[in-house]
Amino acid sequence: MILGLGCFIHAFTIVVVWSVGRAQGIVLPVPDAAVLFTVMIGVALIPISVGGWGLRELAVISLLSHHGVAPEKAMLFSVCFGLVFAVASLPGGLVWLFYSFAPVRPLAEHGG
Amino acid sequence: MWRRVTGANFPILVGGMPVSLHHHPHSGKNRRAMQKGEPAHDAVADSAKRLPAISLRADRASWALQGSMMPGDSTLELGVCLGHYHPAKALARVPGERGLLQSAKITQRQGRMGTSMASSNFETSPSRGGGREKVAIFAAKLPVSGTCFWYVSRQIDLSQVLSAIPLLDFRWAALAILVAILEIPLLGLRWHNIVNALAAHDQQMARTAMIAVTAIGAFFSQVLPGVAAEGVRAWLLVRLGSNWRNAVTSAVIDRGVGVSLLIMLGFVVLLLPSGLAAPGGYRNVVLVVYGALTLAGALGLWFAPTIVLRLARWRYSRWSQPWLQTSIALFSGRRDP
Repeated sequence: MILGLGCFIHAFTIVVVWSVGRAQGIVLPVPDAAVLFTVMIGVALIPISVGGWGLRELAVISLLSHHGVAPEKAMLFSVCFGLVFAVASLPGGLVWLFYSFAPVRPLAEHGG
Repeated sequence: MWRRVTGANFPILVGGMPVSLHHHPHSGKNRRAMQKGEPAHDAVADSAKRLPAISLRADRASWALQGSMMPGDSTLELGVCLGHYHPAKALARVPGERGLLQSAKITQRQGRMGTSMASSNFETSPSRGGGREKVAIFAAKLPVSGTCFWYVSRQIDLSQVLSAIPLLDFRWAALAILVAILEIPLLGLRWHNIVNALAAHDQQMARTAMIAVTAIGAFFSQVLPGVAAEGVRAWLLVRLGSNWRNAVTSAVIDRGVGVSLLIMLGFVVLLLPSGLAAPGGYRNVVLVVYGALTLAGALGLWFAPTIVLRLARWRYSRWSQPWLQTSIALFSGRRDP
């Protein structure tokens, strides 16, 4: 169940990569989108930059420039990918403001 | 004047009396004593010898703590968990306030847990120290990001990047955002499964609450360093009624599952016939690294039961046994470790 969900999550991220490419007019084959996903997420995991920003751009430009994609386009692609997740996280801010965190059990039952 | 704190390096005030960690019903010494049917360790009485102003029986303190907090849930446990708790410092006197301890008071308001701290000049402030560390880490990472962007900016024409923005097809961008938002409930469900595998049957979490916490964690991961965002997730889980040990463990396991799957998926992806993964560049190196990590993970899982048994024998690694058992159970698909 957990591994299945994890695979679904990564598959969704590959769809995000593919969609960002389409937004820029780049039609990426799914295996290419998967490779880009591996590189972008993998690089972002290295804990030496803020949220992977900078390192990810460097990796994407380096990877795509070997395959004839202009550095400007690669840069925009990487920044858009980061911005998509930044925008997608905004509902979390609303949840933070309005969600009430009550413990699952009433505290009174533990009192003496 | 009561002030909210986020750290844990302070004694708790129960009924106007400070108590130490040793009174916590879940502290190791008292737990072992209770299992043997012996009375709990009376650390307050010990400290009262040094600090005459304090006198409170351990059993009363334990009872009072249980009455005001969830079992197994203590802000002090956060301190222990994060390595911030120093009993000697926690019993430090306040300069200028002879006979009084800087104290924290656990309050309960409208079904929520609140932690307040009396006085503003507490000697030991782990939250501030931890905060300084996080700020330092963040400050150390900023130049790396900045240097990368500077290096990239030398290779590109920024005006071309800006002129390409209006040409973006925002419908596809909206789809990307929608899919990224849909990932959050899946992340929440994954973490929910891990938390419920760790928690006792009477401490199971609701799916919606876990998804809400995941959404908040995702938000904070954009504005805070990754470790701090994980800390926010764990803290919110504690507010939902979990204990710190399970909250931190589940966050670590959740992150581990994500990274492990990324490595496995990366290994498979690089074997695919992709133009980007064509021979050349660093593909073969990455393939070997990912393959080695995948193999190491598989072997680790295969030999995990033996490893767990060995770790359980050693005093200093015994603590890791429940974590490993849960991880094995989660990866092998068994519900109950």
